[in-house]
Amino acid sequence: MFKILAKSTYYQFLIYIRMKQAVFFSLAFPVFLLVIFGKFWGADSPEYIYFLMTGVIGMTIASDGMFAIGPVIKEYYENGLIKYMRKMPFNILWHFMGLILSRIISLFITVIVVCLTAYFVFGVAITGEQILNLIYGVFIGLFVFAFLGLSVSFISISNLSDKGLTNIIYFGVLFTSNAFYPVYEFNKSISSVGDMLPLNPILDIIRHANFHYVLIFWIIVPPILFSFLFKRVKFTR
Amino acid sequence: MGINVLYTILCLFSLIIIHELGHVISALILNLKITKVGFQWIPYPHAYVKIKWTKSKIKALIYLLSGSFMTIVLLAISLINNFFGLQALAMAFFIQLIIEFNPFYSDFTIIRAIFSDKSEDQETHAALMKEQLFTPLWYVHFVAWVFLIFQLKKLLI
Repeated sequence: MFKILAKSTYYQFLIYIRMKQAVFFSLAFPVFLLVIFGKFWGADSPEYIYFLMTGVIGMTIASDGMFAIGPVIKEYYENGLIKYMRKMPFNILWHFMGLILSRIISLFITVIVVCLTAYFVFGVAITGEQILNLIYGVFIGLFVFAFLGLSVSFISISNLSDKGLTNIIYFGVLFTSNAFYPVYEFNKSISSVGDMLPLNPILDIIRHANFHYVLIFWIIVPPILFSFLFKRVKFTR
Repeated sequence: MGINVLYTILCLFSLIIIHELGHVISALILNLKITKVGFQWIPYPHAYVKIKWTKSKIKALIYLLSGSFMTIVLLAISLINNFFGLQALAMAFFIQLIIEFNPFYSDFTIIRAIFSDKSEDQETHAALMKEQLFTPLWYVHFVAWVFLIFQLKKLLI
């Protein structure tokens, strides 16, 4: 079992690192954003660099979760690969777990690179406690956004333009969140909307180790919704 | 701070409309049939003007550059008038120009695609733009874009 999982994780990771676009947007782009925003608005403020660093990590968790898992599994369905996988001599869930584990590994690589950039470019080091908060946030965040992405993808399983819906949700979550700037300082209404969505509570875990109860909703509902939608899927030739 | 952000968003919307208006005007002047004006979320939220594609590359080039031309003319006017005393307008220009010149998905990436001698319609461009990511020309565009961002920062903020 574990051998299957390890092999599946390895090959999924190999697929990921061979896709330049995926590597760029999940690894280089967060670093690029940190450097640009940090140079412009955080030169004299280590507090803002830490705020930005965690925000960039939060954004990466959201984008990796929503775009790198759900749409991939949906593609398996669309090109008929899922049907083939179901006939394999192991549970298809191991394969999906391999995919998720490979994304967790790539996400941790991104987190390490972003933290090192913050240290070497801006001189902002993080403490052991902050590292634990980051790990905690990455796991919860990826879980929430992966199931959210899966649910959105499977809601529109027969519709090829589901990326539009995923993008609406992703940008809606991102622009109302405190990822790059403290929204609560200029608009309380937008901030309240952001607080109800999953990214702000995850950022709060990463930044302050605070667990918001609204996160319970996001931990429970998307997996239930996904399992319901997955059972409804009809596998056709 | 709240009011400034609101003004920036309003100015940004105005700049987006003016940019698209540039495409519309050039399409009308060049006798290109406009098939759709709209908004889409892929790959990021943006407005667009769609035309019945022309085989004349010069016309296509003029049409594609007209949006940014409008933005740059407005930028020049605003710079001369010290942004009419509106810091939010300078910020909106900063954001708009970063978006307009980005190497991932913009009028300039379409220009790169149409001059690759393969494309005949706007749908083909999307696929071609993906193909052109991470090519040597793309890296040149990316470096130029980063340079532009730093220059805009000095000039506008």
